[in-house]
Formats: sequence, C-alpha cells, structure tokens
Amino acid sequence: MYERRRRGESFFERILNYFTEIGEEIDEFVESMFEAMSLSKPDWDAEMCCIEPLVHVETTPESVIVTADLPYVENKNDIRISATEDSLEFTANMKKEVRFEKWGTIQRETSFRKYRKFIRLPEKVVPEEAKATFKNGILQVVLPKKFKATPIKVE
Amino acid sequence: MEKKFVSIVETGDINVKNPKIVIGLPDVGLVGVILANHMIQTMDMKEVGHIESDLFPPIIILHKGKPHHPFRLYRKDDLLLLVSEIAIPPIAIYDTAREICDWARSKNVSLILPIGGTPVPNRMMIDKPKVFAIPVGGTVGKLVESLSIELFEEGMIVGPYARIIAECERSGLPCLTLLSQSYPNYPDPGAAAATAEVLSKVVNVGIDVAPLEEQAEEIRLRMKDLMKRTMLEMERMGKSQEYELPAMYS
Repeated sequence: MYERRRRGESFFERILNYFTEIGEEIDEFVESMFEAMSLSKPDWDAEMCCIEPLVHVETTPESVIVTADLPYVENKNDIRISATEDSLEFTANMKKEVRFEKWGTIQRETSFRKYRKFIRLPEKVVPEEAKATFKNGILQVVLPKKFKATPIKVE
Repeated sequence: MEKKFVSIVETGDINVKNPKIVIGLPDVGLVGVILANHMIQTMDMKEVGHIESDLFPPIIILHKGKPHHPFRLYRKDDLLLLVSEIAIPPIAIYDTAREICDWARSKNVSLILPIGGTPVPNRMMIDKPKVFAIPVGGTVGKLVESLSIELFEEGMIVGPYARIIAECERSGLPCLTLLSQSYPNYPDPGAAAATAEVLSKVVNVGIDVAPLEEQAEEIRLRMKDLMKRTMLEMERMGKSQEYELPAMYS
C-alpha cells in the first residue's frame, strides 16, 4: 500500500508520509490497548464494597459536562465531588447495601455500599466555577473550560 | 450449499400458528433487553431455542449452574421473544438480521416487533418518555393508526434494527419497530415501561409495568456492564449518525 503511494512524491514527502503512517498505527494500537485494559479490569472492589458507575463525558464550546448513572443513591447529600483543573473525582453512598449472592469471578456473596469514580478530563477546567445537579438518579457536573474560544469577526 | 454464519437453533416446541415475535437486542438505553427480560420473568416465558454464530463473542452464561446461550429464544402461547445479552458485533449484523427474518418467514410470523430506544439528550427532564412506531407493511400502518401510536417520521436508524427493517421491507414481512425516548448512555427501565404499555396493546397481552418501576434501580445496576459493551459496539457501527440531520428532503 505504501509502495503505491510513493509514485509522484518527493523524497521528503515519502519520509513524512512514512512516519505519519507509523504514527497513526501506533495511535490506533495504543487506543485499542487502553480500550481493552478498561474492559479487562474489574470496575468494583469487593473489599471496599465499592463499584464504578456508568459515566459519560462530553464537551461543549464552554464546558466539560460529566454525567453519571447512580442507582440506589437517594439524595444529593450522599454525593461528594472534588475537581482539579484536569480531573474529577466523586463518591456516592447508596441508600442500602446491594447484595449479590454469587458475584462473577469470585463466586461468593458480595455487597456494595458506594460508588467511586476518578475521571481524567479531556480539557483544563475552572473547578471553582463547576456546578453539579442530581435528578432522577443522574448526577450532572458542568465544569467551565479554562481556555475558551475567542470569537472572530467575519470581515 | 451457501454457508450460514448465523443460525437459529430450536430446542423446544415452536409449533404455533402465525406467532408474533418481540425482539430485544442491546441498543440505546437497553430498552429492548430490559423489556424482554421483564416479559420473560413476569409472563413465565419458556426458553425454546437460541441463536449461534462464529461471529459472536465466545460467551456462555451460567445461571443456577447451567450453561445458557447469550442470545436466546422464548415462547409463551403464540408470542415468541428473542433476547440477547451480548451486543451484536457490527460484522454479524447483516447475517443476524437476515437469519431472523428468514426464520420468521418460515414460521409464518404475523408480526415482528423490534424494541429499542431513540436517544434524547434531555431525558433527565422527561418524566414519561414518548414511544414512536416504524411500521412496515400496509396492515401494520393501519394498526399503528388505530392505536394512535406516534410515527417516527424523519431520522436515521443505525444497527441491527435497521437491517431487520430493511429485510422486512424487502421481503414483505410485517414489522413494527417501537422506539422509546431514552437515555443515550444509561440503561433506561422508564423507557422500557413506556414501551411495555404500547406493546401490550399491540400484542393484546397484559404486561405489568409496576415491577419495572419498582426494580428500576436494580435493573440499572445489573445492566451497567452490558450497557458499557453496547456503547462500544454502537460506536463501532456509527450509531452517532442517529443524531445527524437526514439528507433526504422533499
């Protein structure tokens, strides 16, 4: 495939394309490794009675918005959130202990009492200006971006 | 003979005249899977088969010490139900949809009912999700009209249901896809309950939605990992196109 691309390209273009292609392959490999790693490790800790919730991170021009699904969490006072410029961490206590008779790989009774999650944010934010809401079991944290886009006037 | 990549294996009695078949595959909000599992439990449906394929991940589910296939077929009277505990990999979508429709035709199925969700970003603010219908076939259109189910008029469907709809359209199989407004990324028992109310009118079977609401938190927690896997497969199949503006205009 690379051979075919060579025709009509200068020596430097060929070298540049070669390294670009290798770079893309490395990126793809690293991404697939991270994906595999995130799914291959358990997202619970039986000793700490702790489980990771489902979370979703999205960005808008102004903010980074993190949501989390927190079944069994009753009210906002059960949630503790902290943030830095590039990370968010929260714990949330469940209203009752959730028991599983035989849990997956360990095959013994396991119970969970809280959620814990650490998230590396995709962009730098201003943690002091973050706002959090909790409705219908969904936590939403809106973190304003540190570097916002500057509007450009069309001449 | 052409090799089949996906096969439906019957292990129980499926001799029933003109059955209807409900399909609950992992999709937005896991609406179909949640509703299918609820129906299996509350209606005491019996396992009568499974779908197998070399294209599916190599998984077996152990329940009470017995192995079960992750993609199973159930029956209660003239109602059949397909439910999958694995997200269908994009590579298997075409063959799975074709096999389901070919098999349904061989059983003289009177109506195919794929159950799913349609993602709404403000789901947090919606107390009672709307349920939309995609009818295929003239009689199904009339049924939708008579039951006053809102039509899903414009947009894109991506994934296994898109291929099932296309196969039904091509071969003239009656099909009614029900899509409920749902959380894009989280299991949504509320959306499943809303769909159950509509589905019970379509199939003329009472579906008790109270347990779905009472056990909503347990369902959300138990479905967490399947949702995570489903999100990955949905990303691979380009599910985000459902948010895009349709290019078709008149």
